[in-house]
Amino acid sequence: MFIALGIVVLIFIVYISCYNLLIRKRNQVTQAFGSIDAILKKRFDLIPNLVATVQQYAAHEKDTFANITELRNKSYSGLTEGEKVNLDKELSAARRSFFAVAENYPQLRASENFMQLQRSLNETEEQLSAARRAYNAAVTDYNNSVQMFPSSVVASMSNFTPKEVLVTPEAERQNVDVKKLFNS
Amino acid sequence: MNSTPSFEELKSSLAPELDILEKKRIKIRNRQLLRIITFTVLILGICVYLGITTNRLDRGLFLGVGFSWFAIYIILQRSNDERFFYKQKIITPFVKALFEEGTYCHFGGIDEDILTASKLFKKPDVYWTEDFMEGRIGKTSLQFCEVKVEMHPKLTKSEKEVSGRPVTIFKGIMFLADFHKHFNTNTVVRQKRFLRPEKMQRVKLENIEFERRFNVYSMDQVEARYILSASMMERMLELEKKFKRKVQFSFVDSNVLVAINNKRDNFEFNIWRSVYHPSVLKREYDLINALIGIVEDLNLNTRIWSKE
Repeated sequence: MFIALGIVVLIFIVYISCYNLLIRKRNQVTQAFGSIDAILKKRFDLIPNLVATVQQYAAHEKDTFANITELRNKSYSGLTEGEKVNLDKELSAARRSFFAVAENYPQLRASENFMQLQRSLNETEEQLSAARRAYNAAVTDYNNSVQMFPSSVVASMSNFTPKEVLVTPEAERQNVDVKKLFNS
Repeated sequence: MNSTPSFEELKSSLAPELDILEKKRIKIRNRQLLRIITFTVLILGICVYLGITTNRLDRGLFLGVGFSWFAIYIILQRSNDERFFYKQKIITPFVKALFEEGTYCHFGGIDEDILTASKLFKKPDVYWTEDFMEGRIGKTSLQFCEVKVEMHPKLTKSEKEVSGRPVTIFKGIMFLADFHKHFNTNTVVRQKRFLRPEKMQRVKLENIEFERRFNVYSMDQVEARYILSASMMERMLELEKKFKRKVQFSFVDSNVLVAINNKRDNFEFNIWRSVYHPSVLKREYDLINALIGIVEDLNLNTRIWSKE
């Protein structure tokens, strides 16, 4: 009788421990995603500078940035999750275009605005990369708990499902040679 | 910056000082040799004589050798004159030639507060520094010095009672340089055997070799990864291979602090070896160059982020 009761109590304690572990790791994933969101917001705030700099030195290139010019008129907090994902892609593309456009405009490259903007863009890009890596580490840690025994049993009973890690888009894997831009 | 002068160029520019130093060295070496021979013969003679007269030759010989060793040890304690001359006339020009705005201070050192803030060690009971060099390479200001950190062993659980001689927990070179990225919190890269510093989380990184060599602790997971980019991790691994010593890093107050274990006492004058011996000055030159080279090794002069 006491042995059976002991086993039940033990199972209950293990269940609670695993459940709390899963909750903690899921919260870490949410927190890590929050960091990405914060840096995306920071990047969003750079749009006015980017558009203004291009308009000043390369006015007829403004169509290249038509999509993000449109986004500039919205507030970041007003964007839906889907729009934020699109924004991320648009901004990555805009950054690449910005550097590509700068190649053709020596005056733009030499301007103080461009230099500062380039530094800010590089910084937010590196911070975003760090936030994505932190998110992926949190997801991997969470997925390990969801898929490994004994927490996998609790996970399946309590609807904890594995999450997907973030994958770098193919276009972003090609690094922009910023050094070349500085030196040219 | 003008190109770094070669060792031969530097050595030839210091020819007059080297001549003086070599003359001093020979004079001191001869004096020391004379003292050693005189004292050894005298002490051994007295002890052997006493041993024979008391019929205890073995004890006499034993005491004689012991006292002689002690006398030689005392005699060999470095005389400060030639040490200062060496540091002032040879090491200082090395620093001035290899750094931009380079300065050398024999008794100086990296601030103890920086060491404590770095979380590489707890606040030391004894913090000893010498051979402080400071300057700039490109846009990066840097400083380094020889350091010894000692702590009293804790005897009780309350960690209040201390006893005995302090134990050396680090001896080597500390290197501090302006890091090329802004950051607000503290990140520590430690050798595996060290424990987690207080109030810090373990950061697991993607580089398997790096994870095998180091444990990373930080107050901010994202900022730790911002500092430790994929290329930075590779560079830090290469740095450890370059020095062939245990290396630890701390990123604190927008600086990077590198602690390189090294038991050897560097930048010291050796009266038993000629200053013209190929390895004597070359070793100092190579060490200073290797330390300055950390700026390039960690890519600290690449200023493509908002920190200029």
